[in-house]
Amino acid sequence: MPQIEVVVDREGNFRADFSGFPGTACEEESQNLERALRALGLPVKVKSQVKKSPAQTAAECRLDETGTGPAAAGAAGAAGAAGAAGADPPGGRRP
Amino acid sequence: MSQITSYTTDIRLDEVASGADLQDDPGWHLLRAAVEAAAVEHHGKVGDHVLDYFLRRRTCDIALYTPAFQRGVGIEVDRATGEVRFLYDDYERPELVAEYREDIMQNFVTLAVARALKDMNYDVEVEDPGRTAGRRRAVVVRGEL
Repeated sequence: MPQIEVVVDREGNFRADFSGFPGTACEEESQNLERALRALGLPVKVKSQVKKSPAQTAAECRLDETGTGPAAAGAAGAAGAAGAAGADPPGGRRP
Repeated sequence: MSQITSYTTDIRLDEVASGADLQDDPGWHLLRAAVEAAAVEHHGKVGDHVLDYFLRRRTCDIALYTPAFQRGVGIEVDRATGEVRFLYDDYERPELVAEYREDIMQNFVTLAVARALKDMNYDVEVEDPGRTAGRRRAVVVRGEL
């Protein structure tokens, strides 16, 4: 399954890891994400971009098909994101 | 082909810049939620003004007050450009104010990314590792189709 993992730092900048996207789907999806964020008041600028090798992408897709890829790994300790704003407030999820 | 992209961010409410009311801008509701989350975390509250060191009052769109910083960290949205500005008098407490600013920015971006991924039909999980030595670490948002 295609997956996007985003790591948000203290300054509000972030890194997005797109995995399991075949062909050019990844580029289209990154543009979709940028458009969606802009509509929510968060215009972004690309600071750096690293393309994964075809072999790496193929491996991600193969791993996923067997259920052992990133999509199947789950997220230990992760809190669900839902609610009126579309996600739980970060401060509200901590113990 | 998959990729890893790093982004820099800035909050700008385009609907407001187009003449819409603040309440009609989806970004405003996320911003408000980000400030409210910071208030919960720091046992504070939200309001609509800040005070300077001499207790002079200035109205803003939303402000965060905490027991440790009762003058408040305010946010003002420029109605002409949609740009978001922080307002505060951090005299004697610059580190604390910087921490609150970072909390609000990190909350906003986390909420915006989670909401954007949900709008794109992803199943979304948020992993917040909490704080180390009083400072919060990076937050992870995962979306899976």
